[in-house]
Amino acid sequence: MEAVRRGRREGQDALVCRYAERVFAMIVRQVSDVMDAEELAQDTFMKAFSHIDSYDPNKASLSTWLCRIAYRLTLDFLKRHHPPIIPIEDSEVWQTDISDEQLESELSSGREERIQRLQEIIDELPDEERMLLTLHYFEDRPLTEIAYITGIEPGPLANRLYRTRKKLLLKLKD
Amino acid sequence: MNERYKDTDLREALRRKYADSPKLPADFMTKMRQQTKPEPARKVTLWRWVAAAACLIMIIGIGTTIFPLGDTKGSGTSVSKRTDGSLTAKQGKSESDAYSPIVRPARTVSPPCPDSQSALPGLVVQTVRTNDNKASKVDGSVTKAPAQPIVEPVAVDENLHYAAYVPAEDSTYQAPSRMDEFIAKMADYNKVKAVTLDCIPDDGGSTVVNTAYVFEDKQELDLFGRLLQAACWYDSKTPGYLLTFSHQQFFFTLKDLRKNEKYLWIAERIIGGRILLYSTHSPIEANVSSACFQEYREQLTHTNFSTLQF
Repeated sequence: MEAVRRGRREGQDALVCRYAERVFAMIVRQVSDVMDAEELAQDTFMKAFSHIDSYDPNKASLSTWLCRIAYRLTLDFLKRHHPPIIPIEDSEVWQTDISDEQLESELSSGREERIQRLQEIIDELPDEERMLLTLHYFEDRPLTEIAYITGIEPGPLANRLYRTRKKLLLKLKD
Repeated sequence: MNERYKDTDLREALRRKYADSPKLPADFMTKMRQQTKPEPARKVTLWRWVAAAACLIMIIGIGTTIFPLGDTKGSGTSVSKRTDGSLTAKQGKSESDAYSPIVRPARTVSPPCPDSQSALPGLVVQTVRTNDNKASKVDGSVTKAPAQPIVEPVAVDENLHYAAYVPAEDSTYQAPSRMDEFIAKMADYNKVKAVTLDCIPDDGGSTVVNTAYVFEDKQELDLFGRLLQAACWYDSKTPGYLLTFSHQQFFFTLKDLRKNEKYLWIAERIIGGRILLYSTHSPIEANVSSACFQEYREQLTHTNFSTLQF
């Protein structure tokens, strides 16, 4: 870290070597084009090098901090390049009264058709919600860490996750 | 808050979705190293310096073309030489002053600047430029002054106009006889003959000189105007000074204490588009009246103009 702070080459190389794969994987899951993902990963590291002084080890690990940068760059990129996705009606979601336990039960059926259908529905979700699901279920990050990455407070973040799961269930039942 | 939902279907869906995600390209590190190399930044900086230097050279080139280098030598120092012999050096002139159009850049050879008073009276040296910046002592203080200054003399003839006449020898004395000389020249130029009047003064003396002229009252002659100009040569404190004039008459008297004479000039518009100018001078103590002039005027006004001998 000290070498990175001083702008020394060996420190930067070490940082890239250690975290490049993780950062790139996070980006490429959201950005279909490899070249774009690679460029975003490079931008992530360049931004990290130039803002290394703003990193606070007490708040998050270096990996999480890099993911936070990558998340924002990816989200900006998607907003610029992807056509806007028409969201599922929130009113319909909120009108449906369903508990966490019911949701967990519905989304843990183990049925093949539901899994395949979920793959399709995930692609229909807005970028932020899809990334939220990816961070929580695929990367298995706790909500506090996701809150740091996304910049959303943990409470609202939990509500957003609940709402997204409910969206998926409603779509599954359509 | 840290609870994790099982949602196994969702997890499996995501796992399958991202199972065949592309791996990190092998040359990623190489590309990152290229991106983090400081050389490109140096190149940009270097190009900026090169561009700045090119612009500077262009500006200098244009400046040198417009203003030749010879002019800039010795700039900032100028010396003024006056007729009273005082030599003043001026420093701290701006560059624009050095390039002022008044300074003629083609001038390379200059006459030596005399240390003493100028030999030519009335000559005013206005501008001096320098060929180098050698220091010399001026007015007791060492200032930058030229070894061979370029002098641009401007001669001013202060007597170009009569009204601006300044006597060369005795500035305090103006002889009243000059008035007569001026009138005589004017009459000669306009081919007007001077008529000597034989008037005997009251005391019987014969030293009174009376002369009369009859001018045509022409716009181009403007006799009254010229007489007034001549009267302005004299200070109002001159002995015997008396000047009155109107559209009809000009009356002027002076005394010359050196020659013990008094002078009188009377000009009057008379019929026939003429101006009668009467000039007389006599000893101061002589009793002179205007009767002679009045007689002559009566004679003119009652005589056919064409019969007069000019």
